[in-house]
Amino acid sequence: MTTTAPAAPFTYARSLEAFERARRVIPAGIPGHQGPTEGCYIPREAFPLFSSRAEGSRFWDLDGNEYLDYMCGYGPNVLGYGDPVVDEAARRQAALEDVVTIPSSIMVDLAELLVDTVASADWAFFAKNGGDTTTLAVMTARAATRRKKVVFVKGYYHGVAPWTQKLDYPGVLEEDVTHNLSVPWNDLHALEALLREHRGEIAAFISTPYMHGNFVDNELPAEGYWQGVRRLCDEHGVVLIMDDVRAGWRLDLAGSDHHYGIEADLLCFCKAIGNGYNLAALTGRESLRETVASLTYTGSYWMSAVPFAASIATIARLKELDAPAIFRRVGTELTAGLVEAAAGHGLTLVASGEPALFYLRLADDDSLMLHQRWVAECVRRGVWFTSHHNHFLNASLTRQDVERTLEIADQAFAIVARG
Amino acid sequence: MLTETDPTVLARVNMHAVLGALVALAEHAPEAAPLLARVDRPTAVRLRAPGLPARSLRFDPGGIEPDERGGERVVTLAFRSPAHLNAMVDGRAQPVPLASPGGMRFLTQVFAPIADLLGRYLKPSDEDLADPGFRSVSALLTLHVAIAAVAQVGNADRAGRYSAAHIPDGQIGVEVGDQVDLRLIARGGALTFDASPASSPARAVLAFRDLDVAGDVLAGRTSALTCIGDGSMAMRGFIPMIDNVSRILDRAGAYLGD
Repeated sequence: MTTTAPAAPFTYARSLEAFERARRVIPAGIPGHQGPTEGCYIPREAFPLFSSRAEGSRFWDLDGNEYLDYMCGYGPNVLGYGDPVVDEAARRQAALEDVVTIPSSIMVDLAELLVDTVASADWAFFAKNGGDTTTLAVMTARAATRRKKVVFVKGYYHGVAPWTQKLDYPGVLEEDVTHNLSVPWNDLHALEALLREHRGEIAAFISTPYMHGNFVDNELPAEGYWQGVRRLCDEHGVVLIMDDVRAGWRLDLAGSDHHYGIEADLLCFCKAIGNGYNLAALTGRESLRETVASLTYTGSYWMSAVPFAASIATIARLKELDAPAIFRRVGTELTAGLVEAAAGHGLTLVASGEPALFYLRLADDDSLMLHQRWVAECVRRGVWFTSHHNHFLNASLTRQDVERTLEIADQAFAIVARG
Repeated sequence: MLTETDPTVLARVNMHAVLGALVALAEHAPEAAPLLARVDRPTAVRLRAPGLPARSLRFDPGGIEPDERGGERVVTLAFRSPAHLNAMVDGRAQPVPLASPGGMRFLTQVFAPIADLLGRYLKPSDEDLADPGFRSVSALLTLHVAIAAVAQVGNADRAGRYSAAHIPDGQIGVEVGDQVDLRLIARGGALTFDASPASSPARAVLAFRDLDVAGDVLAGRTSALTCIGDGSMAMRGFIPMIDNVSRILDRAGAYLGD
């Protein structure tokens, strides 16, 4: 399959220098999911630590190494880094105003656009991060139902607020998570049993549109699953919250609840909503409008105008391109090519989840060590995959990019297959 | 995160992890051999406390083993409660010894000084740490204690059990350089510490560059996150296993006093 010269492995001297500086002034150097620990940089020396610039489907690290980026900033980059249409809209708004004492009316423009675009939305509430919206959604559900308990799906991730974490996480009190219940993914019987067991106690069911957990093959909803969840929530007076932070704007511009044939009560958006401009939104149904209005929930930058302008431009462009169709097509082609390339070296690559957010796993050992080696070899040659997380596509990815990706992936498979 | 600790769990940690490290002390600390040379005949020390499974250590001039073989002289150290055992390990109480005169001599001439030696390695002075050889053994023993404590906390502590329940079956390797490869074995949500040489590949590995790094991390002088960032620690394999072991290790710190 290789049609060009094998890529030479990258080196990262400048990244390491910057990391030394970072360690002195920032806890852990780079904390969180974009750092070497949570980012699963395995082995650590195969990965750069800092970027210097980005454009379209690519970013460049401090040492000048170029990457085809299949993480897209963990999701925000949906049109391409530095999309000219979005950036121009942001520049125009910045020239007018951004963070001011009272909000810009462009906030209303975006809210109207969301209500027109998202099938289940009767209103929109803006914040900054996905966790702002999942927290607001749970507060809304509790306020509306006057109940305490929330049902999660095992393996869940809904941000980092204490209520989203677990009993054994440092800094999280038992009281923060004492009302959290969980059921397995795709298990309507378990959900029904739990709702009966705690009849009248459960405020909300919160879930991503499909199971895109880390370190495991991602699972789509079974036929009729979401319709069953909707029915059970209605029967038990439970607020159905869909966390569309990761999948939103990549599966269906009308919302991932629409994609799977239901209407959620509350829908959480962030990541791709502004193509990298910092914004999150909770949308919801009419019945919860006044409850949300009654909550004390705000932030210093939540009504900044520039991200609103960027978001309007992003959504318009996604519609124009029918981006979800592009992502489905490109994701399907790419993952099929990767699976075929792996097979050419006697390896079994499993691609799971929605093609727009594909998850990869070399299934030839159960430790993921082989998979981690392959990902490391890809990264060191200019294709940014991860070993632990679903990937993200952006609309600027070209056929040539996909071909180059498959070439590098093939080189990496060859290295791994040699042992 | 639970803010309280359970004295019964602490007693398990003391019995199996702290006193359990006597086995490794005998193997690695040069000062142990002359003390063990005083053992006149193989002797089993049985630790008994209400509500805790029995624990024995076997002493002979060649070393210390984690179980009785049978036929040894038996010395029993009885405790009124798990808290009583914990107080003994802290040096604040004495056990009730049930022993023959020879057994009593063993306690005063062998067991007590070798337990003091363990304490010196586990809570080293700055002067001791200046000696590279002492520092290495101290870090190794601390590692043994920490990993054994993870097994106890993962099986008995409420938060630990929560974490352990999320660890799939398999072996978790804790490596130090090329010399040390300790194993935690997860099966059905229960953890076992196995100090014997590894017999099969680990499903997940947490690796320290050297014993100095291990000692610094376990003593809280630096963090695992920082060390993974600078490359002095590494992880590989099925990371949720490492993640949950790290959470139990953090919880074990609450029992071991960090």
